[in-house]
Amino acid sequence: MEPTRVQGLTASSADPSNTLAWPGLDMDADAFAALVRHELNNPLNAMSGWLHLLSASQDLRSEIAVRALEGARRAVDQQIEQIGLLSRVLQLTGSQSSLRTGLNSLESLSTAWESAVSAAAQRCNRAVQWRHAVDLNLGLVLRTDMAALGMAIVQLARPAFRHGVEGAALEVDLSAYEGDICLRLGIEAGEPPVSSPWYLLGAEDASSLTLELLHARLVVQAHGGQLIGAPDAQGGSVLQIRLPLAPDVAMNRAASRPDGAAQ
Amino acid sequence: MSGQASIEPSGAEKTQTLALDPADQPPRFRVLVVDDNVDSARSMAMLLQLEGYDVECAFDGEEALVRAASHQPHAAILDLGLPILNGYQVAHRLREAPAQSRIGPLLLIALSGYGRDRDRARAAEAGFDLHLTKPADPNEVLKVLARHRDRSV
Repeated sequence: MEPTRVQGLTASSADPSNTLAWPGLDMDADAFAALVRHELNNPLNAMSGWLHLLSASQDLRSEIAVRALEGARRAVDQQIEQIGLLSRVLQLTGSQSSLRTGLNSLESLSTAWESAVSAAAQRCNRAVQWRHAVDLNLGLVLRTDMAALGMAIVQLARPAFRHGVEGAALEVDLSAYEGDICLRLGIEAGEPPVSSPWYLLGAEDASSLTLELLHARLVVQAHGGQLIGAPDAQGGSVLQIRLPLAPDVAMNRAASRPDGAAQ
Repeated sequence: MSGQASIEPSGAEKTQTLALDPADQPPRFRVLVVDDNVDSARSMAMLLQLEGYDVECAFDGEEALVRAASHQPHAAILDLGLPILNGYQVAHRLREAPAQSRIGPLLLIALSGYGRDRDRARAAEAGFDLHLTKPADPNEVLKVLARHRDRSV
């Protein structure tokens, strides 16, 4: 992707037009309750199956019983994770922000994001290709809750790792666009669609939304950012996370001036 | 539950096979279990295999269609929120399959965490025969399959 210059920043030439708004932000109570039930009932269903097998085993040392016990433990872990996510979602939708924000340089954020996403990719035997189309040495600063934002970015990348095409790499492109920092999580063009939350963006299908994705979106929005998803014209899928630069930082103001004074 | 069951070592393979004493095996009734929650799929598959069913698992919608083509199931238990193709799309495609490629009436069971009236209506519209809400009662699933097996095999 050939970088272009925008307001003194190096920006990706990617045009965020022709994108679809992320569906389901303004969920009604019924839809939200259905989503919560769905997410909590999934591990419960697995638990029910494993416990049925366990209780039917005459020998609790048999391989079936051992595997049922291991499965039940995984289901409990999944349930705890979902309950934790629900708790964070409720905090984020509360009247007071649960984020602990501070000023972070884009350079330090980029390092943290790269490390977190790469670790998640490795756990799923997947690869990530990083591209920086913005100069990290410009001294740009964002106001973020670094931990929460890092978690959200991993959550957005994870469906691609879980359901992605074997061998296909997730492309991550860090750039600037109209004064925002733009992190694009993309699937290689030409590869089949990789996961329902991305693939079904245009379908406005509630079954494609998960608590994990809802949480990630709320975190991005609590940072004053936007989450935009789009099927790629060439067959892949792209998620864009747009985050505003901290407005009260001199270096950001200088970099955003039309004359590009920060260069 | 019949027979002395043994299972293959757990590993990365997507399905496990339970070897039952042939004398104990009922007529082979094939079931496809599709769920992106791997534990849900595998626990259901093990349960059904122990009951003598010939079971295949798939973990996304696209894989479900591939497995259905090769396994030719008498019944399919499908989660609805699946990657790549959702459960509704899979049901629709399975119903569209040419009659000569099927071995008999295909029982389609939706098994989903979504259990609102609108979800049930949409499932019926997509071609499902039955909509069960998670967490499923394994005994209920076994009863439904047994009824269909008795009619089909």
